[in-house]
Amino acid sequence: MEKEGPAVSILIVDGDVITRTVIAEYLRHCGFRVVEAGTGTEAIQALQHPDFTIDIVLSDIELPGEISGFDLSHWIRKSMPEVKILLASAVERIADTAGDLCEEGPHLAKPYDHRLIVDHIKRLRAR
Amino acid sequence: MLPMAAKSNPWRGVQADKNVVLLAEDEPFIRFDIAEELRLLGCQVIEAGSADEAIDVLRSTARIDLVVTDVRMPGNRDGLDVARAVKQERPGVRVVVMSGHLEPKDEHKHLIDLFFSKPTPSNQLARAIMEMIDANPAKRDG
Repeated sequence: MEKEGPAVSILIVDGDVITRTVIAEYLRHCGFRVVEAGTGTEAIQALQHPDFTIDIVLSDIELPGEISGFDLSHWIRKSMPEVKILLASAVERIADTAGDLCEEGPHLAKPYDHRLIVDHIKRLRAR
Repeated sequence: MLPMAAKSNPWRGVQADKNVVLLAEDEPFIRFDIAEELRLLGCQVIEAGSADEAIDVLRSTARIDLVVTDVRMPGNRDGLDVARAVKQERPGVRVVVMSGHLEPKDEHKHLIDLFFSKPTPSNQLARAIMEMIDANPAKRDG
C-alpha cells in the first residue's frame, strides 16, 4: 500500500449486513476510513461520488442484484484502474483479507485477531 | 498482548462504552455522512441500506440503543415497517424517522419518537440523536 495513515479509504461491498458491519468495524479499528455498500450498484454510486475517494475495494464475489463482484471488478479496472480491488468468496476469506489489510497498515491499532471476526458474526446471527 | 477478556470477546472492549445506532438509509452518501457524524460523537453505527437489512439486524443479537430510519427505501418494506419491527423485536428502543416526502400520519405517531424532514444537515441530526440518547439512556442487554 502506498499511502499511510488514516486517509486510506476502503469500500467494503457485501450483501450481508451483519458481515459487512463487523468487517467494516474491524477495518475502522485498524485505522482505515471505511465506506459501506450492500450491492454493486451502491458501490459504483460510492466510487463515482465526488466526495468519496476510495483507495481499495474489498468485495464479496456474490452480491444481491444485477452486478456481481466480478462485474464490479471489471468496471473498476476499466473506469478507475488506480483503485485496488480485492475479491473474496466467503465470510472466512473476507475476514482473512481484512486481516491482511490490517497487517499492511495503516497500523493505528490492531485490537484483536481477525479470525475472531467469523465467530462474532455467528454469535450475532444466533438468535 | 491483549488482556484475556479482550481476547475471548474482542468486541467487548470496542463497544462497551458506545451507544449503538442502527441507521437505515438507502442513499450511500447520505448514510455515510450521518454515520460519520454519529461516529465523531462516539457512537457505533450499523449501516443498513434497506428496510430488509435493518430488520435483519433487529432480529440479530446485535446491541441496538436507537434506530434512525428513512421512510422510502428500495424493496418490499419501508421505514415504517422498520419502526414496527422495532416495537416487536426491540421494545423500548427509540425510533427516529426522517423523510423528504412524508409527514407522519396520526396512525403512525405511536411508532415514531422523533421526526426529521429531509434534508436536515447531518451534524444537526446527529446532535439531536445524541441529546435523545443522553436524555433517556437505553437499557443495555449485553
